[in-house]
Amino acid sequence: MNRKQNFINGFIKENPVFGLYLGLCSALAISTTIDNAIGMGLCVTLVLIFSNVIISAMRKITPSEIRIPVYIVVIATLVTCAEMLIHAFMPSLFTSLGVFISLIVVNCIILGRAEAFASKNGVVDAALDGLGMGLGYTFSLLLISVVRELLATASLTLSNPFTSDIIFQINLTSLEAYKISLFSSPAGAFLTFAAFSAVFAMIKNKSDAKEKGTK
Amino acid sequence: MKFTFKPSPNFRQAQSTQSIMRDLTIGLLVIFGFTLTYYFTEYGANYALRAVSLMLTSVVCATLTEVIFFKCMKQDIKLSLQTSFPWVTAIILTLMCSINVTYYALAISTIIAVVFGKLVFGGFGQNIFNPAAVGRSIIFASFAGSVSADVITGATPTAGLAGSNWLVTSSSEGLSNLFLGLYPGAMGETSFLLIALVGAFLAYRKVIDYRVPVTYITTLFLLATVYGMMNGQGIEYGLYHIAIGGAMFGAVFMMTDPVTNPTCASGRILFAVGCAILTIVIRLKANLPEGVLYSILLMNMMTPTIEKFMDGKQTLTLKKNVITIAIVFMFGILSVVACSFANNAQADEVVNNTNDTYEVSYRV
Repeated sequence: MNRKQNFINGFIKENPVFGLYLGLCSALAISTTIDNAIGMGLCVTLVLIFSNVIISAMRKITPSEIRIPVYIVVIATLVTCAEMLIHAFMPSLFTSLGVFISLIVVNCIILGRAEAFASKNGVVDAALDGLGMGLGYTFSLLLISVVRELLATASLTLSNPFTSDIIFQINLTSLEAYKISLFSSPAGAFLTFAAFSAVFAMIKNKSDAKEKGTK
Repeated sequence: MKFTFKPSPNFRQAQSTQSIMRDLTIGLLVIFGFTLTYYFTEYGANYALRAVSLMLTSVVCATLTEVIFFKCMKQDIKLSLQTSFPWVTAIILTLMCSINVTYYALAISTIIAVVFGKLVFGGFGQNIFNPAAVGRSIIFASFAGSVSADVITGATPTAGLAGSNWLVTSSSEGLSNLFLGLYPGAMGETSFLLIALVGAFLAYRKVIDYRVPVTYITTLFLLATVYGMMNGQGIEYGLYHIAIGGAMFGAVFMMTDPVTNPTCASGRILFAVGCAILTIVIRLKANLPEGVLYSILLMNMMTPTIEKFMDGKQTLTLKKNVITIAIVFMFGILSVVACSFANNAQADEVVNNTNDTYEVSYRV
């Protein structure tokens, strides 16, 4: 029950982007298309799971004075691996994400979960937490990017990152004249993010009030 | 003797926020009336009708947005609307747009301006940025290309001047026309004379602070004259800068917005000087059609800093704050001189480049 709770918390209540406001830099910068959002989200999820597992496994032999450098070395190694793999197998994703892949090293979600969760819990719990948080991050990126891509280009395109074949495409050509190009720029990212955070905070407040009422 | 102890403010003005906003609305509508007459006589009834329906679109959108917002926040809608004045934002925003803006662009930017420029900060009186300026910058940022194809007006004088590196050429609009406002441009921003008259009336009624527009226009004029002198323009060059674009409109209706302005007199003068410097730097160097709007938004951002800087000095007379203002003004002159050198260097480069290609082709 507790494990399930930990896993589900990552989506709504402790959603890393809209609830904890972690990892905003990359979330706002790359959420222009759903391709980018899914690529970035899954990449972060994988790095997060592995870093959580490794850090949790070494938690008993890590001296607490130098734990942060140890975490950074682990995370940086994993991110470098991920970056090279993406460069080799998904070149189009690599070019569109650009510098933000290497910047996963300093993504607050990964370091934050290492410090707050993985260094205190067992390996299985840490892996589940990484999966939940990573999927929560992917989910929030997807939400922002769907709104931004629809409003800015009046179309939605999902393509296979390995072959860059288009998997599905929605083209609202009749609404082409009504697109708002503001949403492809950072200002639009902030507006979308603000609106979603408000909605998430509202849901959170309501569920908190309900819990208090039942107890 | 009887003492009464009440929490501040103890000194109350006779005029209420409602009456101030009513006067402001009347002033704006006078300018809108001039716009309608101009478009009616120059382009025909269709254009005047279009202006009216643009205005209606914006006002209705702003009011509806506020009604929905207050409904969601479970506030008393009628009471909230009376103290929120959505139509002022809408009217100013419409007057800043040109006649060929699409209804959709105006509606979307009104909604974003009202929600993200005003309501989320806590409504009227709490906003950091001038909501109408926020709306106009959204049109700049996302609808710059979307204009209705069936509405055709001439090129604006601002675009003409910007095209010629901000130097007056023989093809530029005449000065008298610029002052009267008989040229195509943003709907309400064209007539220097009418806006100045309305501004004087509003200042007489103590709706706006006369110091802000006077300082702004004077500083802009002086800085432009410096640029004009360095580039061999006539003495009237400064007049072009204050007559075109939104300089006068912004000075009277947007820089004097009591919400986004510093509270003390010296702070307001500093604010106006800063706006003038930013306006001319943006005009001369940036890749934007006009500098007034962004200068206002940028200075709105500086308002808390000015407030903090003036803290404890508000009661000092202007004489004692004059050094600060002079330093800022000197900085402005320096930046204009720098702009002038930079522009000339660019022009030289272009000339040199063309020479090079000529030589190369000659040798070949």
